[in-house]
Amino acid sequence: MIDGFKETFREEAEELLTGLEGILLELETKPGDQELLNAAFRAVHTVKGSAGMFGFEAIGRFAHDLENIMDRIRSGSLPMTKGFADLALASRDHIRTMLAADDAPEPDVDARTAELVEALRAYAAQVPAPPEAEADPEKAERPEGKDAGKGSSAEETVWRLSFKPGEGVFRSGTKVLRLLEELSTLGDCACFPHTENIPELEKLDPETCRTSWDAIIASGSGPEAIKDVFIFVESESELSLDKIEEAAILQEREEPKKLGEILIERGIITKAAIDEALSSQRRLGEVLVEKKLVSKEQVESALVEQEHLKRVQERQVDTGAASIRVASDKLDQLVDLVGELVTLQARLSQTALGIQDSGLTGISEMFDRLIAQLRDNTMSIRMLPIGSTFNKFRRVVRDLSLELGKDAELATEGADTELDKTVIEKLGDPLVHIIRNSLDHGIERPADRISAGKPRSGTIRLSAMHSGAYVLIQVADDGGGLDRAAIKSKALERGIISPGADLVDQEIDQLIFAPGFSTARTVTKVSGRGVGMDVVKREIDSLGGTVLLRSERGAGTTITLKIPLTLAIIEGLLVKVADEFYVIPLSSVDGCIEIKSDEVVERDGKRIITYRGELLPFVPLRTWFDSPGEAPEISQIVIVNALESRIGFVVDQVIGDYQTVVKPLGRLYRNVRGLSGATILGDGTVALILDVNRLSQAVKRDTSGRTGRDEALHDA
Amino acid sequence: MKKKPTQKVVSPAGPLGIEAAAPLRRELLAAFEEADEVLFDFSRAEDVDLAVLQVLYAAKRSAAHRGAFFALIGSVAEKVSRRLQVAGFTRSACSTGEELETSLVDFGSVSR
Amino acid sequence: MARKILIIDDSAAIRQSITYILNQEGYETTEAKDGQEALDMLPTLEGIELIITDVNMPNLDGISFIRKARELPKYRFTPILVLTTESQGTKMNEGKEAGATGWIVKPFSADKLLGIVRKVAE
Repeated sequence: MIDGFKETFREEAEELLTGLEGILLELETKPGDQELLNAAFRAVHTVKGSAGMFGFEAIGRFAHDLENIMDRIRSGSLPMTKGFADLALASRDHIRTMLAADDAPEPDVDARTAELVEALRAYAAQVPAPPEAEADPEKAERPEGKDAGKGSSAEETVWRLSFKPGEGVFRSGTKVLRLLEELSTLGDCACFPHTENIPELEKLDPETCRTSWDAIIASGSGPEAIKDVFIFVESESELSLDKIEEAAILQEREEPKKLGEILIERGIITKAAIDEALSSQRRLGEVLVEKKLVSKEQVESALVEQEHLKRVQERQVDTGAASIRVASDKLDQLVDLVGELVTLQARLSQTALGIQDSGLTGISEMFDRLIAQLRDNTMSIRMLPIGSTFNKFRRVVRDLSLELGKDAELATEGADTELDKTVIEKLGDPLVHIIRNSLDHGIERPADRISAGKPRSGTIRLSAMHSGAYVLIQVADDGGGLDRAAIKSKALERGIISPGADLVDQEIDQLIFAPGFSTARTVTKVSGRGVGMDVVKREIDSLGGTVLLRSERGAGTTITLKIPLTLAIIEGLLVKVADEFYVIPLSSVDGCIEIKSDEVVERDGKRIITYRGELLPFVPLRTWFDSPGEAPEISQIVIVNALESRIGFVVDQVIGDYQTVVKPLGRLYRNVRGLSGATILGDGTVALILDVNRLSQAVKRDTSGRTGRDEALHDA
Repeated sequence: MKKKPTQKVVSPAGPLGIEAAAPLRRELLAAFEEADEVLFDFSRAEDVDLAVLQVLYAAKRSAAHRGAFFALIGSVAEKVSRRLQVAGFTRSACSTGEELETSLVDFGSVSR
Repeated sequence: MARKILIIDDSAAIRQSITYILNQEGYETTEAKDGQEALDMLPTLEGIELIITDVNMPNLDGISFIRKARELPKYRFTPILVLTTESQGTKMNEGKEAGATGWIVKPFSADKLLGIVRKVAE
């Protein structure tokens, strides 16, 4: 983008340099002329200032040295000599050369640059530079890399900030409230204003700032980023930033910091006074105010801090707790190793069974138990409380309700429910989408809510709980519920259902998960982005989970996600085709049937079987994966629930349930669509894990155009 | 001699930036001279600067001092409500002056 | 609502690039090539929400411009940002004393510029 202005800059620089030449020549005859000296400085300064903006960094650096000397000459700390005039002219010519070279490194040019810089520095060094001229560059600008790291993964620190703007800040055009808004974008922030210095109208100078703030902020951005908010008013304001020790928060997790402690910490009151007040058995704040030991405001401000700390503590439960920090890839390695142990143990017990030695069998059984424990333990290390992500959603709800002109709150439950770290990461986007959807389509506008006899403010309840090997995550809103008539007509319009379709409520509800469906009457900025609930469903499916929906007109909608505790271990059905083993995730298996080759029906070129009265397409995995040999007389068909439909996979043999550790695919298989991973069986052979959804899609595409099989199977 | 309390409503329009603070102060002072009850109507305020907010706090304090009545009324723009909430002046969103009146931190503390 | 910004710099390249960045974000802009030209324009301009000014300029430099602008009732509280280079640390303070709201250090990226504009305006 800046490129478009490069030409303008080049022309301008040429012009300035031409002017500079004239000025320098004139200076030779009038060496003390202040006007000329200023003009020369300005020309170099302008070239320098702009050069960096338009990609001429080397010119910027080079001109910097020249500019420094000129600045010192014009202020009289360096003499203007014939020698310098020559050097300056040579430098000027060199800047032109650099301009022509377009700042590209050229050995000749670079050598000349170095030579001139050395000469310039030597000239400058004849009189020592005043301290500030050189010292300032570092101070002048804060490192930019630390710029407000919104949503950064850095660990959160809790800061106590006290900000008393200078009385004159209004007069420099500063909008103080903007600063607090900016502060609040850096993290979870609670501000408490002090207004006690605002006098009566008669005594108020309306252009004087009489307000100050205490704030608590939990932020992942460093102290520099927080201070940067106030950078323009720093010199005229009182600003203090103190880290509230993490240790202090964690140790007292059971009981957040007491009001008295906060007051003592702030130096408002002494310990003795607190102890005395505490002895009176009433609320500490009241007693202290009554005794005029502290002002009501000071107590309220401390209470805000207390409440905020409580919240932060709740959140930090997941990051802290007497714990050590371990790189997550070390954990992954551990999981891998345990996985290998598990498979090796399976071989051991098989071997032990074959040998029939009672000693060996006993050891193998004990080994089995220990490894099961080790496995469970290792998996639990990867577990994190889901609460760590809840805060992000609170923010989503807050920002979005403002944007949509709605009033809604997020209530959370079960923040300490643990889930595999990878699963938590993958849940983020789908949950944001569901919550956005609830706010956008579910929660009504405040006026509509009131006329419907509901509280003005809507509630979105996000809860998590364990249920066997799964975690249930619910997003429930108390909004208007699904408008089934609207959904139906939209689905008709989109050709998702056919005109005569007779659907029960539940089936209608499911339509919102159909690809390309959106009920928003207008495409809102929020949910109408072309991604719908179908994407949510697909992502949850890819986690091996399911999505349930319940809605009552007028009362709200509840979406429940059922997610397996971990991705690393999968419950599957082990099947065999020729000599190869495949694992089909058990969560998508609907049933198994046997067929004889003469039971197959061909219809429109597709092979169809009847399953529970339904006609289903099926695919022999043997031909699909090009396995050698002939199919046996009697094959098995595993019926799976794929994304949009049921489909059967023909296999030679169904071996049985199998719990296994998933391993990522090697390069050879990575591009094969239809596989999601691999696992090692007890005897050391490899089994491939089928990605049921992608496989069924590939099959669908393939059967509609028979030639495209390789295309469908391999990502381009 | 008993007289009925007189009332005056001050209802400035626009974004109410810093420049609005001094005129507002004058207008409120004049209103206190004329009436026993002065009401500040938020309805036409598109935004509010800290300087203006300070004037409102000061007015509340003046009213208490004079034994007069000062209160906030009218609908509060969302932008205003949000700014006040973020800066900690209120704990929740307020859509009317009446709500603000009870929510603003330390707003009534000197008068009663 | 129009958010109009006045840009004062003797470098056309700088003016144009700032204008480009701000226009992209929906700000309206007006340009002046030095402090004097800007000062002459001020009385006739309406709805200026922010002024961005260079320091070193012919005719009237940025610092003097700020002092004179602050004397005009209409621009007493208008946010003013000073364009400086990192070698001019003192200019920041000088600018603040003259009544500037803040500063932008050259060279700057579009994000940096917009971040600072948002910090003082709106």
